[in-house]
Amino acid sequence: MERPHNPSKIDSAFFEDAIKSHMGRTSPYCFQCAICSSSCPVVGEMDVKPHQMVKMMKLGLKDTLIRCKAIWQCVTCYTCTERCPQRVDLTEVLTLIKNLAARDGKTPDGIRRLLQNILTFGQIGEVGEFENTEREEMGLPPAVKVNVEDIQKLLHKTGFGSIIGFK
Amino acid sequence: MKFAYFAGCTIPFRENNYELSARKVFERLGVTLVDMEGSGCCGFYVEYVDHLTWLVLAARNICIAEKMGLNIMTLCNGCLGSLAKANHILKTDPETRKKVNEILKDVDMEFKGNIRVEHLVEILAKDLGTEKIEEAVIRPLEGLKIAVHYGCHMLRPSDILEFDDPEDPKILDELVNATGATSITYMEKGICCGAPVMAIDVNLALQIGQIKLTNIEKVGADAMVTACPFCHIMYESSQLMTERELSVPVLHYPQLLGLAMGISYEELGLNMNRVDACGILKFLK
Repeated sequence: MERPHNPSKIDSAFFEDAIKSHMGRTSPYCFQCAICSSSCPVVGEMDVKPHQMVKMMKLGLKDTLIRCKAIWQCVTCYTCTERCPQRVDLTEVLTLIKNLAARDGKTPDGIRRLLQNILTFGQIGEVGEFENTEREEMGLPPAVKVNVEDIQKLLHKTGFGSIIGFK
Repeated sequence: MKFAYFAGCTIPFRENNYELSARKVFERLGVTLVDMEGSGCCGFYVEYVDHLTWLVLAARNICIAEKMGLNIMTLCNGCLGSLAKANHILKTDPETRKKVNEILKDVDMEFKGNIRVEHLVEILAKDLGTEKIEEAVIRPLEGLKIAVHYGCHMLRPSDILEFDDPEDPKILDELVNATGATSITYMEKGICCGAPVMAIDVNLALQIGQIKLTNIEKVGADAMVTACPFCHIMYESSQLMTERELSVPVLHYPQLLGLAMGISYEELGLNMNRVDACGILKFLK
């Protein structure tokens, strides 16, 4: 995490914009009770805790937030979302922040590698002869053939390759 | 009863025995599964980096099932979470739907919004009903103590999935009890398996997996039951990749049900489970 905060990097409209966007569409009334943080299975490892993330959004610290390791450590279990007494949908808010971080070239390598496979195989990996032989021996039909061509057309249209840093 | 079967990526790679046992059990229960030719990534990790691409990929799979005129069945919680959430957004948000359909035109598809996305557990417990499952049991597994793991995306977000109480679910426990086995309570039953961070931080993922295994050992469970290939890999890996003295077999739910229905150990692919599961055979009557 980058400290101290550079005042020139404060985006005062960040929270307003975020809660109006499709992904972050959430209640804005966080009162810092931190039930999100006390429910989070990975909170112990996070450089910024979930309730602090909401506070940072309100303070316009977008630039700092998209650099946090913690946003990628979220397991998307939705426990914080379910338990929030103020109906802040933190899991979805984090999706928005991760999306912004990705467009800034900050997708972690582990995720990038998985996503690169989708560009090539239309899913996270290619089910080939080896897997299908195993399936046949078990009495299972071959795995369905992925329509890679159609998926590539769609990914091209949404600009997915450049979002994750591949042309 | 007929469903469009969405296999996803993890099952054909790593957990073919889950599909095998599900097919055997459904065959006996009179449920037909039809493969979704051409289907691809459900979009789970894509949502992390681009919301629109995720919706488009998920919608494309839903469109394939719409053309088949069938509801989707998934065996994976990740696929369920991704497809059911996208289905919900596209059904309820006309503006987003228009945007997604505009892109889908390139592959001659249109999201219509006339099917549901269901999980194997929902089909067994709600569409068929627990009573029908009880009737199918011929070799009850009496005395077998099971620690159930639901997996996050089967239950949450609960306003979209409308599956069961996200804090105190019962549906999978009842399905386990229907086999004659007993679902036992343990600490942190609702906690995540850790699999989604596997790609980012392996040690963190294994650490989360350990929390549950430790609690399960404390209550003396004979085996664990999962209903997601991702969670299943996590609980086997958390035992095999770390030094643990005790081992707890991890069963896919249809493997447990299959045994109680009189289907053999090999036919259910139990010999392929990575943590040896043969200890549970002594409970078969």
